[in-house]
Formats: sequence, C-alpha cells, structure tokens
Amino acid sequence: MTWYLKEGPESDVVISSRVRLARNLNDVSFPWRLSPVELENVRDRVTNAFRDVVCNAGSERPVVVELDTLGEIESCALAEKRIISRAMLKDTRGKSLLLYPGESDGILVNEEDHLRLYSVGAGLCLFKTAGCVIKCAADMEKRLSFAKSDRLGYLTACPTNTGTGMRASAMLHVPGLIRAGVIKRLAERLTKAGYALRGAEGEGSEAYGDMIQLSNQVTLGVSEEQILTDLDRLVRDVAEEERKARRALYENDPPALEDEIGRAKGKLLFSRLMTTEEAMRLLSLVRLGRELELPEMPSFSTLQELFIGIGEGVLQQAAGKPLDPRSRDEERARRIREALRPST
Amino acid sequence: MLCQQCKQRDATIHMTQVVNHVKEEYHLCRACASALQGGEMGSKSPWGDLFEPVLPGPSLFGYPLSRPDRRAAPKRVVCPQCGESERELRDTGLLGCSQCYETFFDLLIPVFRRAQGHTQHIQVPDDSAPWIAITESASKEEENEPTSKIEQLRSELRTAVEREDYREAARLRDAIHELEKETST
Repeated sequence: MTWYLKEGPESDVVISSRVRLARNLNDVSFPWRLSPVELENVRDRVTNAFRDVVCNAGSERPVVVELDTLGEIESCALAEKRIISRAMLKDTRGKSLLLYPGESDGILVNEEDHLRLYSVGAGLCLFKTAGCVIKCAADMEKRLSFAKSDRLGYLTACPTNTGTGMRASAMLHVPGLIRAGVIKRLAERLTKAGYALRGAEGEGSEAYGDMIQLSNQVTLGVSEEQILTDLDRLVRDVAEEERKARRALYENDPPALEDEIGRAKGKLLFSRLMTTEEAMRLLSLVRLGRELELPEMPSFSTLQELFIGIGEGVLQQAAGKPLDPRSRDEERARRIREALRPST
Repeated sequence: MLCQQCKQRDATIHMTQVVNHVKEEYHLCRACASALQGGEMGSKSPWGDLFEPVLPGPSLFGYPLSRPDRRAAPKRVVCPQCGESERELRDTGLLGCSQCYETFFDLLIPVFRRAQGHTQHIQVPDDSAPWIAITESASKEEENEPTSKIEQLRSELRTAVEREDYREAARLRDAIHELEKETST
C-alpha cells in the first residue's frame, strides 16, 4: 500500500512526516552556478552512485525520472504528491528525481543543492523517517565525497541549511486552530522559536484543506537528534491544542457543526462540477467529521486518496489526456462521488 | 549630531560594524534606523536584529548602509574557486561553492548568528546516535503487523499440538483470540 494511505501515529491530526537532508559534491560548484553540461555531469555521477546503492541492496529496479523530459501534467502531478516543489519546476534543466523502491524515499538532484535526500512516512514518525534518510545519505557518502567542514558541518548553497542540512517537517490537519483564529499568532511565536509554519505545499503556499506544515529552521549548532526531539515535542503540543480546539468547536454547538459536516458530505456525494479549492474545503470538513468520530464518515485512506488525487496534474494523469478546466471540474466531481459512494 | 541618513533629526542610535577588518560607524535617528531594519525596532527575532546594520536586501545578507567615507570601502572580494562576488552573494543569498564558505567567512558569521543562532556545527559520531538503532528496531516492529503475528502464533500452536503440549497450546490459543479481538475493533 502506498505510504500516504496508511494511518500512522497521531493521525487524527498529523497526516505525514518528512525529513530531508541537503548534501553537495565537494569538487563542484553548487547547482545555480553550473552550466547545463556541468549539471548533466553532476546528474550522471549522482545517478550512477544511486544505481549502485539500490542494486547492491538487491531490490527492485530504481526509478530515475529526468525532470527536463517530463511533460507539464506529469510534473504537476509530482508537485501535487509533494515529491517535488513547484519552485523546482520553474527551471528543470539537469534536474532529476531518483526514487527508491517503495516511493517513500528519494533524492532530488540539482535543486538548490546537488542532492536533496528525503524520506516520508504516515503520521508522526520523524525518527523513523530520519533513520531512513540518514541511511540513504550514508550509503551515498560511501560512493560520493560530500562538501563539509569540521567547523560548519555539511556545506550547502544557502546558509540556512548549513550544518546538518536537515529539515524535518510534519503536515497537520488543523481546522480547529484555523477556525479559532490562532494560526497567525502561532506562526509568529514559532518563527521566534526557530520553526516555520507553512501551507501544505511548502514555502509560499496557502493552508488549503486546513493543512499546515511545521518545520525546523535551525540546522547549525544542533544535533540531528535534538532537531527531531524538539520538533516531535512541538508537533505533539500543537496536535494537542488542535484537539482541544476541535472539542471546543464541537461542544459549542454540536448540531451546527454536524450539519455543516453533513452538508459538506452531501455536496461531495452529489455534485457534478467541483473546483480543487471547493473540494479541499469540503474534504477538510468531512475529515474533521471522521476525526470527531461522527457516524458514516469516509475512511482515512479514502480521504487521503482524494486529498492527493484531485489536483489538476494527478487528475489529468489518471485520465490519460489533457483536460480543459471545466472538464477537470467534471472529472474531479466524478472521482469524488465514486470514492465516497457507500459500498453496498 | 544629525542623523546621517535624513540629515534632519538628531542621531540617537550609534552603531559600529567591522567588515573585513574595516571599521564602520553609523549614526542614525530612531525613525531611519527603524526604516532601515524593516520596522523591526527592538525585535528579538533572529531575522531582524537592530544592531546588525544591514539594509533589507533580497537576501539574508542584505546590503551595508551607505558608507560615511567612501575611501573606507573594503576591497571587492571574489571567490577564487567559483568566481562569486560579494555583490552576487548579497543579491542571491546563495554561496557558489564550498570554497565560498572560507572566502566570505567574515560575512557569514553574523548571518549564521542571526538566522541559526549558532556559528558552529555539532559533530555527532556515527556510532553514538542510538536513536537510529532504536528506529530500526521500531520499524521492524511495525512490519510485524497483527495479522502476521497471528500467523506466527498459529504455526506455533500447530507445532505445540503436534508435540502434545496442550498447556502451551491453550496459552497460544488465548493469545490468538486476544489479537483477533484487537484487530477487529
């Protein structure tokens, strides 16, 4: 089963965990200063090392995706699955995505750094995902020489990643905190404490579907273990606040909230045209219904499948052809109806 | 003393900055200092330290304030390995190569202090990260999903019955019932 369909620890609030490590080759300039030929060269070196690692492990064939050969729909779908960032799509020259079997671990080549290794997992599982990605990085480091210094640790293109190169993040569903109007204040407090609160698709994105991402900002002068321990505790605290906010929201007027959630489910079940924005808003309400353990709510995996599967890229990829905006709204509504239809 | 920026109000804020061994002094009124810091007067945020005399630029590095004495301008620094200039660093906020870390070391330290709160990496030896071992065993545990545990117990039950160890078989049977109850709820 694909990792994002599984229910992990704390999954009533924490949808997924992600840890990435930034690494660079020590004998080449960072990607933004390289010519197309030099970028190709880096790509080949990293890809060869990667193939060697995966073949040594004796597992299935690795997947190598050269982003500059991908069509618009496929790239868009990768961004919707949060495998690559939308920023990465602006200039895809010499960039690659290397996927380990299982799709939860991978390496982005020639983004801001030569290697961005990542691992994702369901629910709150920062230590487990970090364990995976650190192992991947160690395997690669046996074959490639990374840029690092005794004083500053791993050297990265941006000084906000220097040291461990580690950015750990968790995606949380926080309809309670958003409705209580405390997100902005929380974001300010977190910024001061060295953390970032962002929308679901990372930097600069909106908190659509009531999803937010919490991540560490400090990568230098703290150990990997400390980063993970602190973020883990922080995520647990925010999740607890969210649970309190949900209870308060529900107890304030149970029929009103049940009505709103019921209507959202009704719309999802019977609509014929649905924009991404509306779908995300309604799905968030239904997800809240499930989290409040209201009866007749869709399963966690159905909600996850829709959350990932109704973006324009994934939708067109599944349809196997480009669709105009109206046909996309029609196709989206159809997929939602089918997924939510009670299985009788 | 008048504020060197607006040349109207009294300068009440005096700052000294040393860049590449060149000392620079700034004398500003509160309003100009505040404007130059993006309105972050007295903020404790690592991103907007009042005493870091940089203009809000496109990157973390910002731009130095206009120099009172042009002759004091430091010489242009360029990375000998990749050719990145100080100007490019301030514009992009990105280092060009690993050598840049040495080339622009003086410029980087205040940035690290502001953005990271630290200026030195903590080296943890590979074998002293017990949590990696912990996670490995944890993930193994996770692979042992209840259904496979039941399978395992069932096969143990079969062997117990075969060797006529009924006490052990009864214990295993109860354990299987427990697990089945857990997974069905």
